[in-house]
Parts: sequence; C-alpha cells; structure tokens
Amino acid sequence: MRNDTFLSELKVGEVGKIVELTTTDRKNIGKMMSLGIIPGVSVCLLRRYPAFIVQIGYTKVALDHKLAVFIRVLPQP
Amino acid sequence: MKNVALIGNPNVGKSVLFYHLTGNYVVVSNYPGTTVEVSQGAAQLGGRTVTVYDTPGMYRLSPITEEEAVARRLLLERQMDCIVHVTDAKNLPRMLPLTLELLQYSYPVILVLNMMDEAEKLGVQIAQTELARRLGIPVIKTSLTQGQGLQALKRAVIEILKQGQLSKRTTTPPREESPKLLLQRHQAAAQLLQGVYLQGPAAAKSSWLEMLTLHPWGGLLLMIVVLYAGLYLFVGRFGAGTLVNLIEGTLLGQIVLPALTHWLDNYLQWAPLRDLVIGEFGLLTMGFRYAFGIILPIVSTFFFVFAILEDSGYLPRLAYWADRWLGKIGLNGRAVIPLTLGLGCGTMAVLVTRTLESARERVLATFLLALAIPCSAQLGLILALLSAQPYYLLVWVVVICAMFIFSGLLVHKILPGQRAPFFMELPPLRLPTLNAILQKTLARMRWYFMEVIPVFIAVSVFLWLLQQTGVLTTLVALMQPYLGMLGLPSALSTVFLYGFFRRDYGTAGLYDLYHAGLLNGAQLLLASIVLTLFLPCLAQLAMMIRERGVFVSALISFLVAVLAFIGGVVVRIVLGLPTL
Repeated sequence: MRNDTFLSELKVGEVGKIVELTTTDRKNIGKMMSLGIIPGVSVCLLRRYPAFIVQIGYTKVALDHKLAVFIRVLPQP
Repeated sequence: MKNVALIGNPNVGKSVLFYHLTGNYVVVSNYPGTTVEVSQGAAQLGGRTVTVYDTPGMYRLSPITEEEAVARRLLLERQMDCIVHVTDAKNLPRMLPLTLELLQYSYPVILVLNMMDEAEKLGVQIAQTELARRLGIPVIKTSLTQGQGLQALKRAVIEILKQGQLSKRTTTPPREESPKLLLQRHQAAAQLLQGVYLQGPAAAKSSWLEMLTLHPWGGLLLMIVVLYAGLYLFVGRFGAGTLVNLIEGTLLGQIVLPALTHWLDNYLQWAPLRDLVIGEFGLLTMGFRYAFGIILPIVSTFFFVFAILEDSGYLPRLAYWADRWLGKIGLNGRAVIPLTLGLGCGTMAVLVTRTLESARERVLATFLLALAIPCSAQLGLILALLSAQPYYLLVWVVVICAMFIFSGLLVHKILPGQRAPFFMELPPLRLPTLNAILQKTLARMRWYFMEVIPVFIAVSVFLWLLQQTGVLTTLVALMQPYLGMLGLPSALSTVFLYGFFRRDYGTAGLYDLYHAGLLNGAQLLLASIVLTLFLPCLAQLAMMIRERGVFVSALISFLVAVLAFIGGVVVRIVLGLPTL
C-alpha cells in the first residue's frame, strides 16, 4: 500500500483518490470543490506542463502548481 | 408579472434556453463566463407573459467571483416564482449541490438535465423519475441546442407558476460558507445520486486534437495558425483588403456617394449645411462611409472568426497555454478571454474583465486593454495598410508586443498584491455549427451598430461644429508640436481627434490620409503604432469608469497617454526619422 502524496507529485497518467484539500483559503477550496475536486473522488493526471490538468469524471480541470500542492491524494494502482 | 430565473454553473446552456423561451438572443459560446450580466426577456408561457432572467454562471449561492455575485443579487432582490436550474447532465454529481442549496432556501426549483445528447453518447444513465421523486421537484431531460425537451420543460414551468407557490425563503444565504458545509452538501448530493446516476462504461477519452491543443508546442503552433489564417488572411487581407475595396472603394466611393453628393449638392444651398452632410467631416461622406464602408466589413469578418474560436472551445485551451506567460505580468490564464475579446471590441472586453478574480487583475487587464490591444477595425486596417510592406508590419507587431510586455511588467511591479491561482474548467472541443456562428456574428453586428450609429452622427456634428467655429484650427495648432516630435504631419491631428471618439474611426481616417498620399510608409507605421497605443475611445472610457471607477480610469488614461507618446518618440528615433 502506497502512502499518500500531493497531486503535484503524481506522474502523468496516474490516478489518485483525493484525501484532503490542505488549504485554509475558503476561496480556493470553494473553487476546487465546485469543479468536483472533493475528498473521496478519484482524479487522473493528464498533464503537468505548462500547468496541471486533471480529469474528474467527465470534466477536465486546469490548475496551476500553487493549487496542485494543496491537494493530498492517495495514488491508486 | 411572474418571474422565472435561469440559474446554473457556467457553460451549461442557460443562454440557449433563454433564447428558446424569449426569442432574445444573448451571445452563447463554449466557454465559462460568456454571460456576465443579467439579461431579461418576455416569454409566453401557458397563455400569459412571464419575465425570464438569464444569469451569469454560478456554482453556489455564496459567491466567489463578481459574475457569481451578479446572479446572487438577482435572487435576493427579486421575488422569483420559478427557478430553472440548468445542469450539464454528464456532470450532474458536481452540479446537484446547487440544486440542494436552492431547495434548502425553499426556492421553487426545476432541475434541467441538459446536454443529454452528449451524456448518452458517453453511456451515462440517469433515472429521471427516481431522481425527481428523491428531490421532490420536476426533473426534465433536454438537449437544448437541438431544442429537445423544450416542450416538457415549458409545461413544467407553467405547472409551477400555476401552483403560485412563492419562494418561502426566510433566511438569506451567507456571503461566505465554511468548507465543511460545502463538503457536506457535496456528500449529500453523492448519496442522493446513488443508483440514479450511472457513469458510462468507457472513461472519457481525449482525442488527438484535444491533446494537441493542450501541448505546449502544439498550442503554440495552433496559435500561430489561428493568428495567421484567421486574423491576417481572413480579417486583414480579405476583410480589410478585398471587402473594404469592394464596398468603400467601388460601391460607395465610385457609385453611391458620387451620385448622392451630386444630387444633394443641388438641394443643400446653405454652405454650412452642405458641409454637415457632404463636407470633409460630413455625415454621409465621413460618418456613413467610415461606419459602413470601412469598419463594418472588418468587424464582421472578425466577429465571424471569433465566433468559431469561441464555439469550438479553443479559448479556454489558449488560456491554459498562456497561463505561464501571463503569470510573468501578474495575470493568470483566465485573462486570455477578455484580452482576446479586446481584439474585437475593447468596450465589450472591459466588461468581461469581471470574470477575473482579484481587483488587481481586473485593473491590470483594463490597463492593457486600453494601451496595447487594438480593436478589430483598427487591427484589420493596420494589417491591410502595412501588409504592402511586410517589414513595417513586423515592426508594428514587435513594438506593440514589446509595449504589452513592458507596461505589463511595469504595472505588475507597481501594484501591490499577487495573482490569483489559475483554475479553470476546460470544456470539451465541439464542432461549431454554421447556424450558431452566423447568429452570433449577426447579434454582435447588431450590437455594434447600436453603438456605432449614434457615435458616427455625433462625431460628424461635433467636428463640423469645431470646423465652423474655427476651434478646429486652434486644436490642430495645439497638437502640432507633439505630432512634430513624433515626426508626423499635422494632417494627422484630426485623425487623433476621431480616434478619441472611436479607435476605429481614427484608423479609418488614417486609411484616408494614406490613400490621399499625405503620409509616407514610415509615417504610416509611426501613426499606426501611436494610434494603437493611444487612449481608448469614448465608449471604452465610459465602460472603464463604470467598472473601475473614475480615479483608476483617470490614472490608466494618463499612463496610457504618456506611454503611447514616449513609445512613439522612441520608435521614431530608432527608425532614424526626422522631427517635423
């Protein structure tokens, strides 16, 4: 069993289950949740550069490094 | 009269529904944030007239961005008899929390599962009746771009209105909400959807084109293709070249205007009146000719190209691509949308800066729009005029880009604060339909004319007054030393005067002067640069004051004037041109 890490550490193509949003900034939490970045949901990392792109269900979300380091995920096999 | 509000996340089809219900077209695109203001229209439902409100996208009742706040304000200030919550069916899990929130405040809600066609293609299954039972509200499946499900939806709205149950909202949704509550609502939504919403068997696959648009090099390549084919070839060469020659040069210049002038000459005996209609700044000879002969063909070709870009979903991808670069000047990728819209019309673009998150970014974008983003008519004419000398065109492009970067860095340094983190939904790439594109182009042209016609009358009358009273000569004399420092002839002073009223008029004046042989190539280049950088037109200034306030607008205007002048002088010196 692998330990949890941050979205910013995942490799392209890896899937992670979101554990926690580790920021206290309500604005940022609100923004992420509204597009489906919610604890318990699995995301697949599609791109890391020039910014991060994750696939959540049928939604593609682009986010920068600043936000990716807040998202704690458990890598899925 | 009964009120119906269309509410929902950005980019789910609220404006399309608004069009189906009211027949009023508001611009619809494939990116979040197309609608930034509330539109209002009348609809005939069940034999009575109902007011329908189209709102900017919102994710929750406690807003984060200014555009979200707009929708919240509408719900709080106006008594709604029915709220139609429009959702993208395939993404229901993340949209249902808003339904729950609306229900929590006892609003009479109808849930619309839109884009069913896309959801079905992906194999998504939604048990409509069971969902309606669990929520206790009507649930309607639609594919609104095809008009499917519209009748059922109308019947549901009529039914709600007939019941006449007003919202019993007793508490006001808080301005801010704790993440814990948000999470609880999402969990409640997930639970409610268990066994009702089933994802398709195949995960969403990305097409090669999709991956190309997101790749750093692919994105660059695509941008170059779009700029070259869309802007340079279609707007610059075809719109500002071929079409303008045809309409202004041949149709108006050789057939319509000479005949009209000749005919009117006999009737207008009083010289000042003759001047007003067919003189140098005449309503017909200048105002009408500029508006219809020069500006119209360019603006319509631009709007056409822009509509294709909007509907395909390219713009959010460009935002993604540009985020890193815009970060260097304190903006984030989202700023791509107002900035590219500014290439169409700066006035519209200043309004759209609302989609940016922080006040700082809104000021930065407003400033760059005023300084370094030419509007479509200006851009098209400059491309057409300078394309005869590719070297000059290159110099113009380099100078404007350098100014954009330099002034962006400068203001970024001066203004306190940081950019908001970049966060954006990338909607799926969609093949635009010709129908939608033509409709949008026409709607924008109509909007454009509503704005341009009063101005072209006003400018002609105003300049005519200045000319009749002799003030014009004084003004020209006043401007002469400054133009001299830029190495430009005094004939250009009227062009700068037009430019203050409307940017595109200024450039149209430039077009006239060049064709009359009053400018050489280098002067044309210099004038193009200064006119591009120089103060925005009146309409944009008015919008700036409305959105940013008098103080910030005055500051921006001052800075723009100084930078434009200095930029012009520097270019003159570098090119080794003499002062006049």
